[in-house]
Amino acid sequence: MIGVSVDSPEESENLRKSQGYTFPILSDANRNVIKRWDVVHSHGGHATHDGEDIARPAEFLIDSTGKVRWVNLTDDFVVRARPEQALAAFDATKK
Amino acid sequence: MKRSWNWRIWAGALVVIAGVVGYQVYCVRVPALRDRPWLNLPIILVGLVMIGVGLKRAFQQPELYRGKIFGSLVGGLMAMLALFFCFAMFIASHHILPVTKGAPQVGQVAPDFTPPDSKNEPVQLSALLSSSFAGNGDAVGAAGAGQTAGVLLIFYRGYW
Repeated sequence: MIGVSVDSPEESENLRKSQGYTFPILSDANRNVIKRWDVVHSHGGHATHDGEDIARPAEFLIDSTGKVRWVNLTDDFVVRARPEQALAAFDATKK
Repeated sequence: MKRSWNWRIWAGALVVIAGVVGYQVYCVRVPALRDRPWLNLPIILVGLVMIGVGLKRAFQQPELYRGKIFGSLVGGLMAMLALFFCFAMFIASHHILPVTKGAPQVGQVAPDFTPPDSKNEPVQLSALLSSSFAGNGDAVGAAGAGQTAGVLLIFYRGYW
C-alpha cells in the first residue's frame, strides 16, 4: 500500500511520524504522477496555497502484472474508499 | 415579576453549534460517522427543538419568558446553520470533485512512476510490483514474505 500526494517529502514524513503510518507516502510535488494518472483536481488546493492543483481522492489496486484490478473514484467529497472495499478487491484478484 | 431568561433557546443554539462543529472535530475521524452525519443530524434536531420550545414559551407566555426578539434571531440563525450543514453534507459534497475520465481503468496497465518517498528515496511502481520482498516494514506486502500480490495505490489531497 502506498500513498501519493503533492505534499513535500518533509511534510509527508511529519505526517507519517505524527500518525504512526507505516506505509510509504510518495511526494508528487511536480504533479507528474497525478497528471499521468489523470487524477488532478485543478485548483483544488487550499486558498492559502493559491488554490494549486492537487490530487483528487482516488484508490487503485494494481496486480503483480501491472494491471489495474480495481478503481475507486469517489464523486462525493466526504466519502472515501473503506478498507473493507479494498480488501474485497484484493481478494477478488486472487480468484 | 422578573421574566425568565428562557435558557432553552440559548442551550438549543449551543447544541446546534456543537452538532455542526462536532462533525469537523470528531466525526470525520470515526469511519462509521464520517461518510454521513448520522450522529450530527439528531443532535442538531434536538437543538432546534429546544429553540422551538423556548420560542413557543416566549411568544405564548411573554410575561414569564424573555426571548421573543433575540430568541427569534438566534432561532433563525441556527435554522440557517442547520440548512447550510445539510447542504454541504448532502448536496455540495457531490460537486466539489472533478469528473475523472482519463484515469487508468480496470484491465489497463498502470502507468509507471518513480517519485520520492518521505525520506527522499525514489520509489518505482514497477519495481514494487516485481519485487519479492520479505516484509521490509515500509512497503507493505499483502502476503508478507514472498512475491508481491499487488499494490494498493491511494491518491490523497494532502495538506495534513
